[in-house]
Amino acid sequence: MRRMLALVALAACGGTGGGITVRDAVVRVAPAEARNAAGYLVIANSGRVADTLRALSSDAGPVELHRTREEGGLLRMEPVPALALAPGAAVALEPGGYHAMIRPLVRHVAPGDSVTLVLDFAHAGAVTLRVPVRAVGRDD
Amino acid sequence: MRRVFLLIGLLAACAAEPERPRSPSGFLGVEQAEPRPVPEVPLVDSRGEPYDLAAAARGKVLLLFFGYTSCPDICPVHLANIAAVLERMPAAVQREVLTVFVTADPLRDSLPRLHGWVKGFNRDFVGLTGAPWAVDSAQVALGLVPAVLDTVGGRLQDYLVGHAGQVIAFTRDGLARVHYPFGTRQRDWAADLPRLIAWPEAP
Repeated sequence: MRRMLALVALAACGGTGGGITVRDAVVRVAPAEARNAAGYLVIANSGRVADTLRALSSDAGPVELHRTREEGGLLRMEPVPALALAPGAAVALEPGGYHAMIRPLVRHVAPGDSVTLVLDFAHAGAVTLRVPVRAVGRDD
Repeated sequence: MRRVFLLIGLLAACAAEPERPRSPSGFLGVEQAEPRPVPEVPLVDSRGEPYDLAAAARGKVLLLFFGYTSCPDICPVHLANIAAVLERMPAAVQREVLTVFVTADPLRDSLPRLHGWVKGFNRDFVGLTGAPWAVDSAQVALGLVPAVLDTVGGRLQDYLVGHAGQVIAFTRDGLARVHYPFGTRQRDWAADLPRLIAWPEAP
C-alpha cells in the first residue's frame, strides 16, 4: 500500500535524473505572513555510484538545506552544506529532520500554488521539480 | 515458503503501528512529575495590550508554545495541528481551550507580524510578546531552556532561533501538567484534549 502511494506521488510531484529519484515533494507554508517555507521530499539513489546533493534553488527564493536537531533541550536548525547519497540509499527530508528551507520567500506562495525546485546533484546533475504548495501541518 | 512468511511478518509490523504509551493519568503527552504554575511575567498581546496570562487561562486548558514567526519547520506544524484538531471539536470543547503562542524572537516579531501570523492559524489563538527578559523568564519558570538566537554565518538580520520544541498544556487548575514534544500528531491531540479538559476526572 505504501509503495503504491509512493508511486502515485512520484507521478504527481517527483522527478528523476541519473540514478536519483525524488518523490513526495511538497512545500508547506504557514497560513499567513509566511516569510519562508519548508520543502519536504524523499530522495533515493538507485544507481551504482554515490551521489551528493550539493545545492538547491527555486523560483520562490533561495533554498538552504537544513537539519533540525535537538541539543541541550532546544530544537535548533543547522545548515547542511551537502547531503551524501550512497548507492541504494534513500533520505527523507521531513518535518523535524532534514528539510529544504526557502528563505526568504521572494514571492507570495499559498496553498494551491506550485514552486519550481531544482536539486543539483554532483553526478545526476540538475533535477527540476514542479512542487505543490500545501498548508503546513499533517493529519497522520 | 520462508520468504512468504517473512513478507507477512513485515506487513504485520507495518500495519500494527505501535500506540504511544499513556502516562499515569492516561495522557499521550509527557506528564510532569512536578507541574508548574502559569508564569507571571509582563507580556503584551499582538495588539500591544498588557495580557494577564494567568487570569486569561483561569478555568481553561492552556496550550502554551514558545517559538518565532520565521520558523518554518517546527512552530507552524504544532500550531496548524492544534488548529486542525480544534476545528473538528464541538464548540463546547473549543471554548475550554486557550492556545497561546509567545514569540521567543521579540526583537524581530513586530506586533503586526505576530498578529497576522498567529491569527492565520485560528482567529482565537493569542500571540504574545514581551521584553526578552520576560520571555526568557517565562520559559525558565516552566523548566524550559530559554530560546537562543543562532547567528551562525554572521546573518545578523536573517538569523534562526533555537527553541524548546514542546507545547506545554495546563489543566484548568493552572498547572502545567503535560508536555507535548514535536511529533505530536493530530490524533494524539484529539485523544488528549478532552482528557485535559476533564482532569482530574476521566473524560
